[in-house]
Amino acid sequence: MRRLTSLIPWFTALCGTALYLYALPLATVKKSQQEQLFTIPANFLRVVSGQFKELSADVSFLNALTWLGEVKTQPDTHRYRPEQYEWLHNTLKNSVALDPYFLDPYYLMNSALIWDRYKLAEVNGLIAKGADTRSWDSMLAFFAGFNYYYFLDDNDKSFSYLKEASKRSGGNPFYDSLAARVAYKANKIELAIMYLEQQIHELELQGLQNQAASLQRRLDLLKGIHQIELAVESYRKLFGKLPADIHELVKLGALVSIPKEPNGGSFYIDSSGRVKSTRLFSRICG
Amino acid sequence: MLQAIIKVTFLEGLRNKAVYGISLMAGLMMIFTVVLSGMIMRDVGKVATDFALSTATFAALLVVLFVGIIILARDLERKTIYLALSRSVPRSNYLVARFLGLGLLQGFVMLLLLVASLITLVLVKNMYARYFGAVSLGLVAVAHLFVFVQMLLLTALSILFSMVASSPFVTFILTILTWLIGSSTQEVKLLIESAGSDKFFPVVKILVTLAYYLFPNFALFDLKATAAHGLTLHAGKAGFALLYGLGYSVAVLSLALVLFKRKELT
Repeated sequence: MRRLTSLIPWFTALCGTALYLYALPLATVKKSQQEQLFTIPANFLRVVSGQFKELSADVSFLNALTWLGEVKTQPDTHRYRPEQYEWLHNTLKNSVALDPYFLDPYYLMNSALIWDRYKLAEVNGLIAKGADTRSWDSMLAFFAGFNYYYFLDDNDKSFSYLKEASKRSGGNPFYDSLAARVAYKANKIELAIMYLEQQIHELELQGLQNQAASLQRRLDLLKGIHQIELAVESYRKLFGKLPADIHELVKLGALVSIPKEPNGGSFYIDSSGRVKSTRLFSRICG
Repeated sequence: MLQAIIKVTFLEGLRNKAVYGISLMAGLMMIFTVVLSGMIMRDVGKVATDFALSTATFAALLVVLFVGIIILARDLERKTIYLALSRSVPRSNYLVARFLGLGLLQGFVMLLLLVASLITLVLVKNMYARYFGAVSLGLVAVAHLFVFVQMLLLTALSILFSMVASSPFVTFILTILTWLIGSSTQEVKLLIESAGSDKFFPVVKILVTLAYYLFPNFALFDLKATAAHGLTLHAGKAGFALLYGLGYSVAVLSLALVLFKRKELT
């Protein structure tokens, strides 16, 4: 009996240690019966998790994932209640604070928070930070770039991240065309031309002629648009109005000839003075 | 005689039932890792590596706490220490041999844990090859080596504490507290440095800085993120960590030797 009693402190210590090292991360996200959701601050977690930060990040993420699987969808336009969004956001934020290299929480943020337009700037800021940390990952750079363009109207940052996504993916033409499209939308056509020229050059150096040819058509299209837009701008400065059509520019000598549309369509000037293509505008520039 | 004590310590450790319990726990955690991998979306390899390495660290820690401390405490409690000392073995030799025996035991356990981790990760890799990511099995092995060096240092500290503590339980508490503090001081220091100067009282900063330099920095031996994401392990930093661990262990053991020579064995 005495032997047994002497084991009590050891047993307590063992349980305490096990509880600290394995059960504590579970408390990083706690949901009570009444759905009073709360999370432990990330900085506190980083300190108490010690050498088990990564494990704690995994547990936080798994908690968010399983909660998403369990939670009932709401009948309104947004899927969750505000406090549920807040909890999900904080839990995933904790996960990336504990392990900034962990891909899955960023992925979940993008699908569960960004597309529901929850704290767009802050959440996409985290994704962009993740893209910076995971310096080899093209997917997060693409997410950040796309979100900056589509949700946040920040074309500069969007172009920068899409360009980075293309670079990391080894020149994926999909990222290239998106970056060019963003640059065009931002009225930075010269930037888009420069960017495509560089990409084509790199693809040619790598011997990827087919991909280079595909980008070359896009480049020719943008060069044609740029050439006409310069002429439109000169016309506007001279006459204080927009030309009726492109032929008028040729007649006046502002354009030597109408550039060839590389995809078989034709160029036209819209009511705001922007030059577009009948064939590919909606796909490339729209 | 030195070799005999090392051998006896190693065998005594292996015969300890706690080792079987810890091995069982580690084995179950490894199996759980394989099951859990199916729940992860994309970073499957990373999560499996985290779990495998965390299990290895935890199991190695338990070996120090529940096998290492007990072996030395039993020697003093059951007076078996006299068997060695009466054969004119110098006290210093006895303590060094005990440390080396415990190190051998820890090394053996780490080898088993490494094999278990590698089997688990290879299994996960075969099951989810597309989502295994940049996990480096070579770095997983290096991470185990770092856990081993870390636990050598902790063993040396537990020996030091057993020289001053009144009971094995106090040694246990001191050892685990040192490990917990040593694993967090770097993080706390970074947190305080990155926060604004007005956020913390100056006395807190002084205390944290003091703890940072007073306690061994166990975070240096944590390579989980490096192995799980296949990050670059800088040779300089790795070499420094290994030298730091071994140097610190020698210093702590030397201090323990001094105390042991003066200790009254009743």
